[in-house]
Amino acid sequence: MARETFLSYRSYVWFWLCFFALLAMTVVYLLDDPIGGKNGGTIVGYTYGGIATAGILFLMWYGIRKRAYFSARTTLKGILSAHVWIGIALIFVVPLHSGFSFGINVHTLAYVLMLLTIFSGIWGVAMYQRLPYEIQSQRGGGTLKVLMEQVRSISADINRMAASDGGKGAPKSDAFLRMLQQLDFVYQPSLWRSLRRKNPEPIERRSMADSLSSLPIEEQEDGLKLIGLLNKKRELVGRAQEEARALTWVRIWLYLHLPVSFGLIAALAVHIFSVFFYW
Amino acid sequence: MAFRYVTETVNKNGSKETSLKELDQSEILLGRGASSDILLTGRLVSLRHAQLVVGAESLTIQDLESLSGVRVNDQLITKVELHRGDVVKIGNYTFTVTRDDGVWGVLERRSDLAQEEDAEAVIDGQVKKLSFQSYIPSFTVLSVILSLVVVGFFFAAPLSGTNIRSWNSGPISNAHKMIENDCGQCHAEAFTRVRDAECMACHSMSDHAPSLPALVEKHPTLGFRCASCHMEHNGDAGIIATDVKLCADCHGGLDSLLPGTGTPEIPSWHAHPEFRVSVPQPVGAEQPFKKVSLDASDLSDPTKLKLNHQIHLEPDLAGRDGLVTMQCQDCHEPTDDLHEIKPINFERHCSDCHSLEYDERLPGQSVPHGSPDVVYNYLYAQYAQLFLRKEGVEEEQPSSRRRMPGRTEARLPDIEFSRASVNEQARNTEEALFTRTACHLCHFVTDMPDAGAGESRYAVESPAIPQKWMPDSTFNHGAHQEVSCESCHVDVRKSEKTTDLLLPGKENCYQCHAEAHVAGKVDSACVTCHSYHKPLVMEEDKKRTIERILMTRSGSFQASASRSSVGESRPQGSESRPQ
Repeated sequence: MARETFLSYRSYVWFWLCFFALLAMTVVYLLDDPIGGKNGGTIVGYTYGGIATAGILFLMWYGIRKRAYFSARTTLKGILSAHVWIGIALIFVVPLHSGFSFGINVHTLAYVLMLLTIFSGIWGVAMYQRLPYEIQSQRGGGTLKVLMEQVRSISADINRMAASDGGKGAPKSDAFLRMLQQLDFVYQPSLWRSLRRKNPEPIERRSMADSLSSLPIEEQEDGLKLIGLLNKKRELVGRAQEEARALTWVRIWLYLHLPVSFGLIAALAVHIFSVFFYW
Repeated sequence: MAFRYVTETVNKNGSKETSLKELDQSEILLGRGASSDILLTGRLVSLRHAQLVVGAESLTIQDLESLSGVRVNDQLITKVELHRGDVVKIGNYTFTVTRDDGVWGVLERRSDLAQEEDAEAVIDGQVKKLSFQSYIPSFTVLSVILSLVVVGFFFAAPLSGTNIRSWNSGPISNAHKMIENDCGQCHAEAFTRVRDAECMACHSMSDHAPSLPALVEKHPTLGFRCASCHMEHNGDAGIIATDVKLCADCHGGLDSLLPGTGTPEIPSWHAHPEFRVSVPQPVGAEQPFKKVSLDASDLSDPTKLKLNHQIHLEPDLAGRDGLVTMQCQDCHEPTDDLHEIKPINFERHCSDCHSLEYDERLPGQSVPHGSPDVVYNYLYAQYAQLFLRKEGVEEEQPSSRRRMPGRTEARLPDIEFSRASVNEQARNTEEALFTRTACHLCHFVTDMPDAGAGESRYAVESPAIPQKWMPDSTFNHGAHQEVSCESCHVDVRKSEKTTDLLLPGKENCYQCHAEAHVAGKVDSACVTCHSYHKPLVMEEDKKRTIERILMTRSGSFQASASRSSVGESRPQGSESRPQ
């Protein structure tokens, strides 16, 4: 059996709870036939509005619960499961509240912000389903910083190899440096390139052979070593970029999810205020 | 020739160290190779990279087909003459050309800082470049910005009177569009539901039923307000409530709400009792009308006329101008708006066929369609006129009678008249009209032998044709004009008696009209036929001007405040519920 996740927590208990609650609410909605048509101002409308508000406040409370490390009554996994499934259910509760009437106004703005929050959350869930396996730092690999240090030290090795001022032997031939110039690169970290997965490829065999054949005999061995180092550097850079990409996707949705949820709270407050102000 | 190679190094602590190498040759080799005069390192430098040629007045640099080339003032060159102050770049080295006391030289500036930069800081910088967090503001900043935008545009702005539309919870009904942006017109008080006073400022309504105001007063918790039924901000859907249950919630149980009144319980259109017609009662009865169900056995049209629909609808009847086949609307003429049927009028609907000529010796002469006294006095006057004319007392007047087609010019009949015979003629003709011919044909006539002079000796019962049989409902004939009259008023062609009431019952309506959502039927609510309360014309002093309705368009609170400060703009007594 698959490992229990926050989605499948206790055999999807929160999914089923939300599903049946939604089902019941839909049935009540369909049976309800209020004077003047279904809208947020009927008894069912007010009730569903209250339920949706309570739901939103519960979802916001997750931010507090998450940091309550000594809370023992509930598990964070259970709360996260409720957070996700209730959030998804709210997508449907609000139209039932408003009688499916939407417009260009602060009321619909609150719904749009809620949808943005929820869908960014769903996006986050999807990222969490896939990407953790790609974050090497969580799977025994180095962190970005370690990778950067490795790139830097291997670059230093390469530089040392090219340098002739070590006192040992003659300076490297121009052909050796030309080969280095062709196959090496100065790594400029770029998030944009990482997100587009523009990772350096390993050196092609043909250019390897061409370069080696241009070297004087006495430098052939160093040339082979250099190619080894260059390939290692390319691999390290690729890994760093992959790490940056995974880390970005697994976290960036939160930068939509959290601020928009606060915007939603503001819009929700204005919505409730305005409908009762102009009752 | 002398040449100076000066190296200036800036230490970490900022102090400078200068080293000088003096060369005394005219060709100076720069490169990585051991034979170089100025030894440069780095992967961008060739073994033999460039050569300086030092002259007394000139200094020239030449690229020796190097790996990465030579740049002078950022221009890639092969061979060029240098001047004081020129900047020469080879690989990672930068030289500035100097000429002091007539001696050429180059100055190389090095910075230990640059070379031995904190590796830690470099790596941190690189990690930062790969972290998206360094490109966007923090959670807190984003949250605060977004919340402020929402509050600013959708709370502060509407409160100050702009962007008030963003609070509109739904489309306003078409009739109220001109006050759409002036919330205060209806929402006069914050956090209070729209009060009737705001509705009654423009609208005046009749009561629905005499019992309703009492009911409202007795049960204030019912919270009957205009807006309980008239829902705004739902487009045109809610403003005129058509829900059956709005009526049915009282009318479905009127027997318990108003016990003893005998008002029928009507929970739905389907359960509607058979229609009841208002039958006029004889003069002196307790009520002028009595409601009788269409399926009652004692149902009868009390109209005092001898009308036979069957005969009237037979083809080829003798009309004034030849044969006619009558249609319903020949007598039952629709009103101009096609909604209703005009009252039956003798001159318009009967006289074409039913002539009131009274004396065959006087063709074309008709008595007026009036009361018996009018008829008798007319007859007397006509015969007296003839008598007088015969006597020659009165000049013969030029004939103003219309010549009837097909008849010869009327001329005075050859009758011997005398004073005594005028009265006799008048009475004889009267008797003929009222007991045998014209009047008798349609009307119920009573003989009153002791009539005085100048009075008819007959009385005609007023026909009293009811104009509206079902005054509590509205029926639009025009809306049904594609359907033949007889498809609802069935058995008209079989009706021989005036007492036959030829009105359609509810089963007839059920053919097309059903409650909502029955396939193939017209959705019909109570208000399809009944109106809850008829709008009344507003009293003149309560009316407002268009200016006053529109002047506060953009406003919200200031608007409603200024409006309530104009005391007279609130109609008197508008605070109370409709009475």
